[in-house]
Amino acid sequence: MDLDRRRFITWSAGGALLLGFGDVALAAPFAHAAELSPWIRMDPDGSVVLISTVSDMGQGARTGQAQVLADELDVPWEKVRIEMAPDAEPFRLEGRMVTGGSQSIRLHWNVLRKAGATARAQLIAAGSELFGVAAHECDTELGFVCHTASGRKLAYHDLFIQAAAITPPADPPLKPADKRRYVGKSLPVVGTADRVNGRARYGIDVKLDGMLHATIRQCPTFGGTLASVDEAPAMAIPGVKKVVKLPNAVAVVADRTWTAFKASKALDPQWTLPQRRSSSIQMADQLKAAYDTGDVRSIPEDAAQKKAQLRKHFAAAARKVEATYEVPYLSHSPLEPMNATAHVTADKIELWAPTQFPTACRNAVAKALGRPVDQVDLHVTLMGGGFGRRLESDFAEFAALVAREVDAPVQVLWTREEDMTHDHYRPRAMLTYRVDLEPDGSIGGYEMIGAATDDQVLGGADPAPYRKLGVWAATQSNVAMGVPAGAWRSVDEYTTTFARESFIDECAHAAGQDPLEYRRKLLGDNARGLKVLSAAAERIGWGSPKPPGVGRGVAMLAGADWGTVVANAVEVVVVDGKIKVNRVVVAIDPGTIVNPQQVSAQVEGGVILGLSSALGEEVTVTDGKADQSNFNQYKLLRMRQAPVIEVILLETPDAPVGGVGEPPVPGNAPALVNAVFDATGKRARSLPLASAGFTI
Amino acid sequence: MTSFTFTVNDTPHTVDVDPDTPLLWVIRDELKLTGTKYGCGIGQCGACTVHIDGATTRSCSVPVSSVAGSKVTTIEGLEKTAAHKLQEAWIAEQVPQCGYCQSGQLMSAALLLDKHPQPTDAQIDQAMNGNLCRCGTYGRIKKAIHRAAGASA
Repeated sequence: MDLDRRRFITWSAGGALLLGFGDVALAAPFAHAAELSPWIRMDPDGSVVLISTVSDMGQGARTGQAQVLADELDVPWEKVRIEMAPDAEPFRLEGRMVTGGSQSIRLHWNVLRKAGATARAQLIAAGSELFGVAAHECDTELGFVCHTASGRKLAYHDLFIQAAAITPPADPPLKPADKRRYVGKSLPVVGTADRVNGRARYGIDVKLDGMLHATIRQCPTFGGTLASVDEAPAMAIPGVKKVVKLPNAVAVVADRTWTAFKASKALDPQWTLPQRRSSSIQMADQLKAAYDTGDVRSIPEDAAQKKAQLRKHFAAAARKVEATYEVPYLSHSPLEPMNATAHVTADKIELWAPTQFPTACRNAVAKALGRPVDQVDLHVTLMGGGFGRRLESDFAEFAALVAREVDAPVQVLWTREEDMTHDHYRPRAMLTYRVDLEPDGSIGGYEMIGAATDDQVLGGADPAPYRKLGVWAATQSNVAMGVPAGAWRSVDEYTTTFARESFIDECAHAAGQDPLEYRRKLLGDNARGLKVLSAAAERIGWGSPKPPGVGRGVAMLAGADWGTVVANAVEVVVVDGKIKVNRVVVAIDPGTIVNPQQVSAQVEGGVILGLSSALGEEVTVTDGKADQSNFNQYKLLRMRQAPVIEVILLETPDAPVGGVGEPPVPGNAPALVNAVFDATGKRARSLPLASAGFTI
Repeated sequence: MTSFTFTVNDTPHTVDVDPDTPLLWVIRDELKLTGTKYGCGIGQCGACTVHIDGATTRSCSVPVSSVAGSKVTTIEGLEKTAAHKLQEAWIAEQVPQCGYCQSGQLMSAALLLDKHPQPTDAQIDQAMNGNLCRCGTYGRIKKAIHRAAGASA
């Protein structure tokens, strides 16, 4: 092939790929999209389509994944488009496609780098063959394979077909950190423009030809079932198509959303109530009584032995500290209420769902309808927030069950009241910590005993990151309350971090030591822990003079599974019991930072979520029903209460890449209560603070 | 069913709906303008914020019967107004996370800047306090409003 060094590639105004030799433009050699790897496609319009496994709830990880892939592949960022992967291999991890656990970057880091590097190596091989030179004489430069010595260049788009025929190398060279073009850059999130002009389409925005609108009314009592319902009041409303009876709910299908809402309200369904109907007012006693009984799990493996030893030691200790902490049920309350759209036909279930967990969603829908899972064709839509709520599949199951009853696509939208009263709540929990103090104030032995509702809360129960803490053991009982439990952004670590970091503060005060210095000693040789703690404490002004009413607190994250080290520092001012959060500083070290401004965004959002929940959020349950049903009763933090947030980004390049979605959340509540204690001398041991004697 | 005529983003529309239908659902289901969001239905979250005759309004709590003859602006119409600089500032500051609340945030911010071209933090707090953001973008919203205000100066 006669190659001219002046050969270039351009795109016409209409988007057609043109190849030029001097002044002569030639049509592109391919007209169809070419696939070099499951992760990478090159479209005839010149775009490089990178596949992402991320369900997009605003966490920016789709862009982050694309940065990792584009960097190794070495393509121009402005040509990159991102598409959602199907729920299939090789996009699943351990058989599942799920967005949760702060996994999107850290668990795909190696996979994506290798996919990009493999494709790049194939392109180099294809290019060097055409150049008639050895592959090692060639390099790449933003979508071109270049022969370094001669300066000849070939565009990836011209090489894709040939490259696809080349056997992928098993061990392609990965880009060294100092050659990275995108990883480490604050690139804007792809798709931001559509989120400020109203064009972004969420689950609720799905519009299909002939689509009907439905809403659902579940038994208000958890675990109850539908006994009967008189359909007449709904059917009397013009536009109502059908009342669908389900085992635990009734749905109204109509031509419009508002008609469905109105008709659903007109119904008076009769419910069969379950035997067990729990009430929050009794739960503290129930949780305490469940300590060490029933469904108990412990860590570490020899916990039973250690506990016996710890308790003996504790009973005989001269100086000891014991305290009990409580957290309430929390609602996820993403601003887009639960919804999904389904069209059920003889051989296919087409589903549009804002789901964090495509694999579970498809399985649940297939099971609900008794159909094979390969019939479920899922389109994952944008999500108006997730926070763990959309790991569940109940909203998709309801959509499919309702759609099965009508010969049209149906969008099933929950009202806010349904959403809030039928959440899968962050479990309520009670945790007791006991330590004996050595003469120097250090901790001799450390025991946690806890109980949680309908769940086990052991994540973060180990005293990591503290390495100088002596013998430890933790036990958790799962107490059945019949209240749906789920994962709430940062999950168990929220609960255990709140309790542990409050308790460490109490130990420091009991030992007569500064809580920051006390933590430093406990961290021992944990260099990353010391680094983030010192950075956060310094920035909050630890130790500097404070006006009256001002208090400061710090907290360390454990969260070892996320691979990210975090310290939170909070400054409050408390006047007559009214708390105002002035500033929050978060120092975070996730190893490698892919997109600094997006990591900051996750931290800022994590701080607001953490403070919102710690200050004012609480779901209570009475006789098996949630008491709060909308934002006039369940108080989210608003603009006026939002503090100044400062984010300190730190890296440890040789450490594994950590997650950032959840790690900024847990430290806020304990740093806040520690700051309130510093300001007032009053220790809040239960959340939220609005229910613990403070106003917000 | 009753007929109502009003203007949305400078285009006159006539819809045939139940008089008690909230404006939100007319905008979304009849006019298919889905940028205006449903969040709570009781005027607590601000996701449905639009402008009616130049006033910030929670469209979930206004029956369509009360807007006959009015001029309504939704997020889709904001680009054509001076408030597009807010949208640019939102992008520059990378405000949105999930983005679901941002239409309402922008509609509230647009009228704030009409009233106070150089708003203080306290004025921003007051104007934006009715708009919830579960992702926690309040700090960036504040920065973006200041940026847009600076651009207009």
